[in-house]
Amino acid sequence: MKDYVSVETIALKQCVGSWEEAVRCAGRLLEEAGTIKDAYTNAMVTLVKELGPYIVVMPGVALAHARPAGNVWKNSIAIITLEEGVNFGNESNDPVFIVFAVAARNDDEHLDLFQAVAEFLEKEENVERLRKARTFQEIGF
Amino acid sequence: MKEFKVLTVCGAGVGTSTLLRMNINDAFKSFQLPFRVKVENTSLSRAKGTSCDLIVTFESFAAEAHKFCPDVIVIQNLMDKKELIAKIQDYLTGKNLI
Repeated sequence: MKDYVSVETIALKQCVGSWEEAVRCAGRLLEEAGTIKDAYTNAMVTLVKELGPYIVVMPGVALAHARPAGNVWKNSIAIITLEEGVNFGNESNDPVFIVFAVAARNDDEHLDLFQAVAEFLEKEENVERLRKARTFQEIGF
Repeated sequence: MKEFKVLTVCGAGVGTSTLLRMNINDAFKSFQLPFRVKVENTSLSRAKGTSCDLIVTFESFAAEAHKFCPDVIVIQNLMDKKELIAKIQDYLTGKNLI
């Protein structure tokens, strides 16, 4: 995970009004870090609109992503945590407090990034610490 | 049966289904089975043209997946190994495979 996130791609305790705003907020961090084009952020939003809220893979956690389609310059992950949860429309796992934006340059490299995310999410204490963290250091990457 | 083929299915077929594939692969290792289990991940649209014994997916795709594969397991929390193992166990028991 350390290879893909940085202080610039993490925003803690954000206030957003909707799931779309949350996904765009995470995407914007990557745009500002210069790792993706804004088209990738749009694609992450479109994926949920077209295919549904399945990206909420576990209670409280959404993994926003899209097909790379040439819109990703550098493998990178943004994380935002929310002061108040937002609903994606996923009955079993809403509300969402943590949104990852996962951007890989191609399908093969997607695997590496998702593996890193999985290793992180596997430990409940990581998720709890991330949700409560107020500073980058508190997350403990 | 020599090989039992499982497809993990999500919308784009790159991220979430990959994660599901890794965890489902692990979950199947909890069982002593007389056949090999092969797990592949794909998108819903590509899954339609792929033969398999079982599809593991999310609520969003379950109804559609049922149309071309009779055996579908629906996962709620893909990081919850207990849920994955319990659902596979129910399935294998129902099919008289364990």
